[in-house]
Amino acid sequence: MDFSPIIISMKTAAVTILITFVLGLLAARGVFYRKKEASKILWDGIFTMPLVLPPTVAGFFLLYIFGSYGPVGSFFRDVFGIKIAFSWGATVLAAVVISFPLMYRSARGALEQIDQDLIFAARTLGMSEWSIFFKIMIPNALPGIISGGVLAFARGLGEFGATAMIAGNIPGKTRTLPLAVYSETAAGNMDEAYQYVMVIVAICFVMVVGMNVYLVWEKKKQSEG
Amino acid sequence: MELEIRIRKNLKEFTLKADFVIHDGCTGLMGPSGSGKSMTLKCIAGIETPDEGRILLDGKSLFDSGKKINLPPQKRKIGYLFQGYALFPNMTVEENVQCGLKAKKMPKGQIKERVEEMLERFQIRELAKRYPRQLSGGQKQRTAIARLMAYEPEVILLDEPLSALDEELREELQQELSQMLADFQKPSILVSHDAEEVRRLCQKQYTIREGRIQPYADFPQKKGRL
Repeated sequence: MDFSPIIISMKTAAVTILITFVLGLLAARGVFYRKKEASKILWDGIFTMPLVLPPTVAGFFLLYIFGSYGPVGSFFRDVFGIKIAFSWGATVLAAVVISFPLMYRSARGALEQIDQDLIFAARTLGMSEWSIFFKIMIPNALPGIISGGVLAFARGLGEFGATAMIAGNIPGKTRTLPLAVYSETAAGNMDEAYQYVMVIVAICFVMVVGMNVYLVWEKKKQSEG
Repeated sequence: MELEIRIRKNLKEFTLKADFVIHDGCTGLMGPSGSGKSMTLKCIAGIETPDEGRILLDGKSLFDSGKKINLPPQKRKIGYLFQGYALFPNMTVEENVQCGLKAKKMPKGQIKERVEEMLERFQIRELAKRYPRQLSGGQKQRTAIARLMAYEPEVILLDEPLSALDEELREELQQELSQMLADFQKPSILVSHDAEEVRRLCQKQYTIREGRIQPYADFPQKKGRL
């Protein structure tokens, strides 16, 4: 068995979740703080788009923007001599864009569940907005934020459509696990495909169970006191 | 001290028009639920923004729509006692009390001293390492009071602190509040729909109905304390 798809996928998923976690959390905070309802709805729509669009369409846009002739892609090519499309970095780019809405939505939901009076109280005690975010909001929204992170990680690991569009399916470079499953199946190598499938199933199962164990533990901690 | 409130805010059902001046001591703000009394407190604390008007504390503008002044709650030095106390569930009693002092960037040694003093004064010394969910109603109130007093506010606003409690506990906590308000001396406002409570805790009261403040009543037997 060729182990490169496993290594590439793990690397991509690991870097992706770091970026998605921070961006998703900041986006959730940003929308949470919007005062006007219309502005909330607009930003929420933009941030949720990658979740509702077919991944190939999201990938199409990525290719349009980050491709060698796209506005961002050509800038990187001319200024830094870096080609984004069809590089390993493109697998991260695709996975970040596709997994971002899951992180953002879970985090925003969790932030909105927080008792408003806690935030008001913190303000009247002189705490700065960022201090409130780190010391009050995140700790009290942690279960929702962690679930969002796990879902986003799983989604990033499983990303196929947008990855194929912007990163391609280059063995040893951009061929992630889902793409390897597709390629081996298409080539009729069912045994190979089966092995990759089992790896993905195992990882995803462990993660979801792990998340549920954490949530149960968190709930128990709350009720026990 | 003197707190002058002249604000207007459009609410769903009516326009809140609050025009009144309070001085040292506790002033009651009575009214049925939904009459705009909590909103008035929130505007004073800076949690909500009035549409127009001004709020002056000893002549200093906390809010002035004409001059485009709107100090954030962080800069108003107004203590707020919430109905559910709003203790931070992720922090121990001690950490809750510390919060405002850390925000003030007080030196560490001084914070420790001040926290000790507050824990002692409100008799929550033994509870320092407990979390809010491990406290009884009375202990929660004392922690909330210790937290806001540690911050040394210029004004205290009490937003129906006793209305969600059962009879027995209410009596007990009323006593404690009364003690705290007597020690505080500076201006405070108690929002309530319980006339008896206001009579016991306040020296003066305003009534608010559909967003309008009615002329105030003094309680003659307590006038001397004003």
